[in-house]
Amino acid sequence: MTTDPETRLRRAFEAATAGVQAPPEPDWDRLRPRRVSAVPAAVAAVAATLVLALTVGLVRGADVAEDAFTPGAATATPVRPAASPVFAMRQRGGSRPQIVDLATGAVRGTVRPPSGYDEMAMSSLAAAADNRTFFFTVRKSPAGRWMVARVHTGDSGRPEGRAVLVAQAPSARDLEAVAPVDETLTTSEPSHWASVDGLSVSPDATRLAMRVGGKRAWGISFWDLRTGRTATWGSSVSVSSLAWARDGSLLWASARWAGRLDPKEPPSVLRATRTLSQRDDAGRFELLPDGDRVVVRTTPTSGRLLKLTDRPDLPNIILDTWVTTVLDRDWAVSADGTHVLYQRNGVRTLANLTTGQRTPTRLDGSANQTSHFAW
Amino acid sequence: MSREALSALFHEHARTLVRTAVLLTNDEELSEELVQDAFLGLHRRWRRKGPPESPEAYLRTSVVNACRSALRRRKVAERAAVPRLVPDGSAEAAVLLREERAEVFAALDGLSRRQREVLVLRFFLDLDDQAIAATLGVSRGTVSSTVSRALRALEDLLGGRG
Repeated sequence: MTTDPETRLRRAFEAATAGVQAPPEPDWDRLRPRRVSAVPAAVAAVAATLVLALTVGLVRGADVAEDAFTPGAATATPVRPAASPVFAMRQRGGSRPQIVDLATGAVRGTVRPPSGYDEMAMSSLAAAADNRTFFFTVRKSPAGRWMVARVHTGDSGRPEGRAVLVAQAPSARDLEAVAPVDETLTTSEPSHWASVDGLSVSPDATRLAMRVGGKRAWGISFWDLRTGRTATWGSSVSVSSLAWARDGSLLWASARWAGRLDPKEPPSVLRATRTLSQRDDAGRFELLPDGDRVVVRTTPTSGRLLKLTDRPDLPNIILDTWVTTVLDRDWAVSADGTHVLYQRNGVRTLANLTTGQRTPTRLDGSANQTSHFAW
Repeated sequence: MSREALSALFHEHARTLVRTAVLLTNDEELSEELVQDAFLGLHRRWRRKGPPESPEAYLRTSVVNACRSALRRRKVAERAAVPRLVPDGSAEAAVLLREERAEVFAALDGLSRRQREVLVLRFFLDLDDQAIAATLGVSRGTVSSTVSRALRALEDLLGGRG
């Protein structure tokens, strides 16, 4: 190109931002009238609160006194399953999740986390079966408590306002109270909060399960989002995957065992009901609502998408095999358990788990290869 | 200010302001947030002190200032040095155009913050010296000389890459 700098600038500015969309309109009612006469009292109140907060922070550790979350305060109305999912939530690294159109790859909107909750490195994602309700984990600081936020999107895929907090991870102490603790594992820097290793949302978006872990214990934390009721089940092994069965129970699996729990029953320690085959997957699989598992196995030159049945009367099903030059390492099952979105030679591809039909998406390129998806 | 008027203003200007902020910060998520906050700031100001002389200019200044603060606060300057700025799923797959764009943004990264601001305001928003001066809170003479120097520097940088 030999055109002058001005023309090049105009062309570059225009082209680089052509795909930028208008943001969602703010909630104008968010602003409340300020009472001028109340300023001195307000200043005094803020000062008193700061002193109290600083005192509490100094005594208990700053990361302990951090959330203003009220369980059950956010409403949770049951949603209906979508005829076919068209959107996915995507997250790259520690950036904010985006809602993307599976067919075109276009970004429909960026999810704004709850105010003050910007720390999203290693966050977990989940979607409800309506394909319009998405969940993700956030926290205020790297040492803070993991919270679960929820965002709804309109039919265009655009998030409707800022995400709201709906659940929180248990404290490490609460988890260790219900889980068999491995006393051989000690740490010089014990964490106050359990980590959230994965999320699973009931298809109607009213119940939530988290795979949680501490330095010395593991478990599953359950939340009824309509009532705020919560319960934590302990586990002697790390839980690898969760799925909601059609009957409302929660299926879980570790690298070697699997079982089922009824969230209505009093919490206890997880009891396995079956042993899994194919232990070489080391827990890197996704459970389906019928208890089968989906896994992508890769070598440096090839990939295979498999459905593992773990039943002697039913063989495993090879859904796809391909030659690859990149490391295809991430996959996600749709909220209704009917499809999987996986990497096939670097391109995100949809596979129907019943028919085996495959459809490439426009989600390609290095950025999509290193992103995580929920849909 | 009525909600309808505010809403109309938002629909007329929000996207352009986000695009401007993207060019300054190279962060679309951040830009959306800054523009929304700018509109809420306008709403607040309007209710307390009445309308600014030009709501559009008020918003523009708010967004540019917010971009500066955000770049300082969130230290995204490092990210701005990466010539990303290619929308996902864009139909513009022409390799030449992409390379051209990458070259221009790489050159822009070599300019000062103020030089980049004046170039975006001049060549993206098509503002004259007076409007740019009002937006940045500097004199017209400063704008004029900054534009000239920025273009010269850009030409050198682009020439050096060619």
